[in-house]
Amino acid sequence: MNRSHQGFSSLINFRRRGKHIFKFALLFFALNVSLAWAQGGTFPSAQEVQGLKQDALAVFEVILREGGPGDRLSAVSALVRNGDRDAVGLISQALLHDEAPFVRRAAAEGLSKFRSAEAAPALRQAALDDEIASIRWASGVALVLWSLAEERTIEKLFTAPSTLAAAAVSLQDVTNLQQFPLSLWELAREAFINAFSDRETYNVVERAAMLKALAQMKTTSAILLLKATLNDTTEDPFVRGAAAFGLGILNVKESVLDLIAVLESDLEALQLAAAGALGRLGDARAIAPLSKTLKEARVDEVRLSAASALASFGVLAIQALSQSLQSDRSPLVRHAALQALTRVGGPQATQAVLNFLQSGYLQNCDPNLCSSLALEILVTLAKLGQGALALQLLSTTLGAVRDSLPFLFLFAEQSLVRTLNEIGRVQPEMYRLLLNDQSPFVRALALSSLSNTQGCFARDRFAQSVSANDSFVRRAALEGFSICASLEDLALFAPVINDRDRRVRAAGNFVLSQRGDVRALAPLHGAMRSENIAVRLDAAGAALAYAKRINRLQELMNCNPGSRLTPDKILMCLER
Amino acid sequence: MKFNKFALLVLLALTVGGVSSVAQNNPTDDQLLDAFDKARFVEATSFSIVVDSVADRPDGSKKATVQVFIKEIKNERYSRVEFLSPEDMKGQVYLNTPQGTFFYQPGLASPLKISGRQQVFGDASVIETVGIEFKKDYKVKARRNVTVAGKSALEVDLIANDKSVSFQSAMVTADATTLRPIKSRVFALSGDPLNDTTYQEYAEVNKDSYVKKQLIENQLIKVNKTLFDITKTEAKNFPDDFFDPNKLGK
Repeated sequence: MNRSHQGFSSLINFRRRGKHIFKFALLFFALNVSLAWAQGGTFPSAQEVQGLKQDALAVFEVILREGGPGDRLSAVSALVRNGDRDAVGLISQALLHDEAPFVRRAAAEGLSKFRSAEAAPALRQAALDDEIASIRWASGVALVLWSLAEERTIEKLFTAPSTLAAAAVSLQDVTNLQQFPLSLWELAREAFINAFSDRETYNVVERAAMLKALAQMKTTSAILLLKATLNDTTEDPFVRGAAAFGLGILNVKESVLDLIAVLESDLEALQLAAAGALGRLGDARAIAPLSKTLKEARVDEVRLSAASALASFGVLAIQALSQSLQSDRSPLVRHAALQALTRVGGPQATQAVLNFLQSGYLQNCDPNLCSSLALEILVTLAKLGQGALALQLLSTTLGAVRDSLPFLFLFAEQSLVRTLNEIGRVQPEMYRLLLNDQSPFVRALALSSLSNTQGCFARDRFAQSVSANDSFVRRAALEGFSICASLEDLALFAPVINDRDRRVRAAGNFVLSQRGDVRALAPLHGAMRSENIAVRLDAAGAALAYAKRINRLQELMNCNPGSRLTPDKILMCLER
Repeated sequence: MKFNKFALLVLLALTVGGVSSVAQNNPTDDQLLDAFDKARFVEATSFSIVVDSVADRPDGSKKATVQVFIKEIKNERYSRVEFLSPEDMKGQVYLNTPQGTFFYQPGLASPLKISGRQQVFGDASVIETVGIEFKKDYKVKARRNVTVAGKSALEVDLIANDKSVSFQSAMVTADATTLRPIKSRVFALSGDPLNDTTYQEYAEVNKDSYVKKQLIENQLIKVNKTLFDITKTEAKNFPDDFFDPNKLGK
């Protein structure tokens, strides 16, 4: 088969995977190439890319051999995130030989991404021999993801209590479950149902995990077990709670009365999960009991769960939620009631929130206890169409907390940015106000939010701020600018890959790896020789990502890999 | 054949002797507290453990991995808890020193002084994560014989030696023969139970016992359970600076 034929076949195969993915990839690729071409970028030759990749792999090899455990973990994560099949050997070595279990586990989990025959022997060995059960399990999963013919390994892992427990703890998490082959779910179901009754061997967390995993796998054959466990008063309340959770996930409508009954139990783990399940089931018979629980339950977490559950019932729940917002003794529960009212929305919910604002509760509340609630009020007002009021309150709030801004910035940056995002979306004039604020923390938050809400429309604003004296403002500007950067901006971002601040380096490495042309080679090579191990690691990761991107470009274009990709060649390939 | 039989007899004698030397008929309070600590920690003046932790609720679950470094410096115990995962907690450090407990995360100009009762992950406080030192911080208030799962056990009430100790009272239930703790409970000043810890599995490294798996259950709000699994222990001499709050982030 000649080269062009191979390229055509791979294109056809690619198309078969999904028309939408294909269209998106082609569009993205064409835009990327067009942008590069329009700006006169020149891409490196295949040899240059291979040289960069080998340098990066050598950096990782040294760190995996000589680095501290934390750096070795970062190296494996970077290899998994940015590497291609050439990284499999190093990751497999880490799986077999690294002395730190968390590095081996990251390697096992990471190898599942590659589905590579090269990794199979290491995975097979680790699945059988590693001393840590969760690593044996992760290796087994990676192995069957490569080939279902390795199913026997999973069968074997299910027969040992330690790996069966590790499997339950892992598979209760939907993200992990989605990666576990569907054809093996029945095996897992059977193993968990059989093991569940063994209270001697498995602790309550592991048995609860079995029930949650069964529910997430939509195991209708477990409904009887879940119902029996929910009503078994000799069972641990935590496990009964997991059963309640499972009945909600499986949408077992006929369990509503049982779930309502256990709301009265005063066993908080059970009440909390039953409230959540009733919210999922959405049966109107649960409104009154949930409202009573929201008002009277002894434990904050239970009332909080009842508030969240009531949001599913829309306007019918407003009275109970409004009352909770006005009078609950815990700011956390009021917070949940506020979020529930936001989900319900509409004029009645808005009025309830405005009434709460007028009550003066926040003005008299200890800021340590009520800061999250105060931020949530701003988000709620913005979402409920009261943006102007939210902006007014924001100005007042910033004035009140000015002295604490450095501390707030450090510990609540994400929450603050999220709040500004919501207000900024409905009141864009907020940015003019905040970007001219005297506090660098406020300006940094505003830039981060601007990036989230306006993206590259705010490119000029980011460009203005990248030379700011304050490090937080500069960092936020570089982060915002990085997603809009073009080839013209490479010179600005190249030096920052050596910066001391991890996030600044990340912005620089992103631009070099995702936008860079041949000019990215020298700074990446340079940073990989840095004395600072974190700089070397980040640059090596970026180098792998860069190599992967350029190689993909070359493959898709089916151009001669022996020579540099010039604008003329790109144009020729696009026409082809 | 005779040799094998002889070896078996010697082994049996050693085993029985070993057990009886630990258990003794009536250990003193000091011996008791010493046994509680020795069973749970590896005996080294400087070592580290890696802990896989699951913070569980009936409706969800979170996982984290921390590395705990422990060193005895001038007869005082220093410890450091460092998050390795999840990604958003990576780099957070808790230091527990005789001068107090400190928290640091990247970006902080200097570490913050916090309470030892501060939760690290799930319901486990800093002190519980690094391990309560029964011998150093407590004295025996009362002890009694009880039965746990059909086996004879000792139940020991403890009170703190000093007001600065994070939990002012505790109770340990231990196997009456080996004196290995089976479970412990720490109390609030009010006398209400705060957390129960069940020591579910012990392991050995170089014939030295340590607690491998423990379950921490919040008794105040019985919604969360935290499972600790020690996946690695290593005796290694860490530099003293590693435990100095003033050196964090420098």
